[in-house]
Amino acid sequence: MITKQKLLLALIFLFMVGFKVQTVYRSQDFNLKDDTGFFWTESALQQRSARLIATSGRLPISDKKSQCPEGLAYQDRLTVLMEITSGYVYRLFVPKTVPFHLYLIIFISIWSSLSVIPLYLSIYLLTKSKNSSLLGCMFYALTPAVYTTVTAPAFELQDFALPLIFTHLYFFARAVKTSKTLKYSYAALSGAFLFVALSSWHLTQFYYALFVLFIITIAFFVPATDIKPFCVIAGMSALAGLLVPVLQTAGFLFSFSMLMSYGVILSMLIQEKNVLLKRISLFLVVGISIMVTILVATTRIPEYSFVYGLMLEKIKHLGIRPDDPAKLSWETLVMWVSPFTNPSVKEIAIFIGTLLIVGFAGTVINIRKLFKKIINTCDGLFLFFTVAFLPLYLLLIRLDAFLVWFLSLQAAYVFRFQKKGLRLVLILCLCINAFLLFNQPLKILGPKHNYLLGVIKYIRNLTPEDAVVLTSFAYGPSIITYTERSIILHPKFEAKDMTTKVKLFEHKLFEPEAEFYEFCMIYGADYFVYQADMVLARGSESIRYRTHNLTINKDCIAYKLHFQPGNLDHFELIYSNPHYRVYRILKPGDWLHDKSTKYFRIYDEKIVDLGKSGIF
Amino acid sequence: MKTLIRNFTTSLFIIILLICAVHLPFSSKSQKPKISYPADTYFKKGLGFLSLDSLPLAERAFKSAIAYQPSFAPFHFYLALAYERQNKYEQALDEYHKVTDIDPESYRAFYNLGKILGNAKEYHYAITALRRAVQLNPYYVSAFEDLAKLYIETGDFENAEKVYDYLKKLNPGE
Repeated sequence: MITKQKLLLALIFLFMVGFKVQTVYRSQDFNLKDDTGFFWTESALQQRSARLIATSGRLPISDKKSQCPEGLAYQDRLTVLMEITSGYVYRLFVPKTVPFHLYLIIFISIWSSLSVIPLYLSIYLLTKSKNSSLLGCMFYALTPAVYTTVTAPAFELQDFALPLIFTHLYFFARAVKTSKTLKYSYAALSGAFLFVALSSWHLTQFYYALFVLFIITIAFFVPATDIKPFCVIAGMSALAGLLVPVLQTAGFLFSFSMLMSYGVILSMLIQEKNVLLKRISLFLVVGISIMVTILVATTRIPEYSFVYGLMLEKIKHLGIRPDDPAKLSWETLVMWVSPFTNPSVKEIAIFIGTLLIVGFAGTVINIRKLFKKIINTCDGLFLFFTVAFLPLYLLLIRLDAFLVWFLSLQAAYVFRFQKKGLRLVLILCLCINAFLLFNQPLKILGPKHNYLLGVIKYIRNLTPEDAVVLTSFAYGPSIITYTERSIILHPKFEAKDMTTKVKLFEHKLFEPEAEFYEFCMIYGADYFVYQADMVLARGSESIRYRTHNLTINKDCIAYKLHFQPGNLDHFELIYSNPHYRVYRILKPGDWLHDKSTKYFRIYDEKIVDLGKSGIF
Repeated sequence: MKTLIRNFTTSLFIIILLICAVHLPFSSKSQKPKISYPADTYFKKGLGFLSLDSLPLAERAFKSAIAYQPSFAPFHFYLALAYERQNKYEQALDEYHKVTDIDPESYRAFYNLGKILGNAKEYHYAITALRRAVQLNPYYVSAFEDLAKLYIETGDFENAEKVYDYLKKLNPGE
């Protein structure tokens, strides 16, 4: 039977979907008839994979076009569940008259908005109040941070994985709260959702590490707590590590979170009476797991060290990037870019709004309960995550999606107070968030559309179909997705050797022509897309900053590509606009044609202030 | 009991579905998606018609390209050119304005705007457009020449002389 509450929840859900779709639809760069350049960087690569599934029903095990010349191992390296799901839904159920990119936005808007359902169910499980659950959902739906990724516009893995993670959490809470007979069945459901989430987003592993840390905390401080449902979840996660190729390759079975899981299960074998031994064993579990992870991250799977290294450096520098880039390694700086930056106070105020205050109030209520020792495991679970994600969000803005969900849940505790004045304040807070949501500036991710279209159209129409194009890693997906030309670099750092290639490329840019040409020859590049910001940008997210080249000399190839294309021996300028240049890379025996390209003052060394740009 | 069985069956179903999803759709053959971009096709046609002086056909082709891709400045530029060559100056002006809105660095659009406005005796606007063109490209000889002519037509000989002096420096032989 449809109750009033269910109807209202459905309305909140529809509002979220509608808001996301209409924001993208209204954006200046949205074009219903042509998707060229619509998605940017990783989202563009994900659009291509989904399109491959939608058109052919297949994805290559390894695709040379996506990562020339060695090939990108889709099955073993990438989490492509979102692309497979969306591609098959389109292939099987959606009329082909619906433009694919529009469909993807609708798909991801619907899917990501599903997070509101586990939120409603979790609040109801904790408070037994339908009104509180609805109010929590309303806060969630009116918080701008919920919309930032989809409306970028983006087709992001986190938007696919988060509803799964939240559903897993809800079922775990339910398993903890339920009687013995149903406990394990809910734990199985929780494990199944985590299984899917782990297969669809690499960062789920880091969430899972936090989840295991919660279990360890509980086992440490309240040894009498029944944590047996966790065994089911850990078992299913281990199963995922065995059966899912991408998790096998990432060595998930020996990851930090899994090592701790094994340790927790082993510590459960110790008799409950022996509290001290149990605590020592748990302490050792964490210590040994950390040591093994450091060893694995530094020797076996260097991709892990990127994320852990970034977190450590962020903590070391209190989230503030140093003025002198030499204090940080390239590996840290290449990750320390949007959305892995920390939020400013203004961003916190605009994107989280009053939810921060209300959610914080709810958190304080639960902390008081904790100190009075009247908190139950379920409340403790969600309190743990709220408290954990607050500092994590301050380190990584990308984690706002987690924080907002947990804060909305905490806010529900405030709604339980029946005071009239408080209710008015809550309504006012909701109105303020609604105001922030409807008045937030349209944030467009990616470069200026017109110039990007220019370079894409040039490559699509005036280069051979089998051409290999070298670009910076961020631009690779736009080239392969919208021109179907092979690329050398892309932003999927989990792909084999990608970080080494990107690092080499970015450093070679500031070396003499012969060095850079050698790099192009090794990887078989036919064309090179030069970006004006490779030389001119010196900001904290620029290539010059992360390669420690804040001052460069005129002998490096980047300078010549920008200001003196005529002085290059192996690169022929064939296209130019104010943001990009396309160079044909001459192979031995090729002739340099005398082609003149349009003048742009940004490339004029007489006009640009070289000293100001750190060029000597 | 019913809930117990339902929960376990659902979990099993989810996991089986997932294992199928991460194993079955992969093949060793590389796939090539069929994608078409009608905007590019119409644009190429338009350029062909323009070179053959089939101006109404070029106009139609460029309009079709814009219908597919309205935010790309060159489509508007060539449509404006097709209009201009058919003496449809008002439409051409509209299109050149669109070009400069999308691509504020397009000195050719500013130059053509200046020329049309100059012919229409809208001297103030024409001079502004040409000044912008030469600001964007300080080697744009024809734009400087037209700018000097407009200065002369408006009686501003001082500025005209300055422009000619600059042109002499630019091309000392001429």
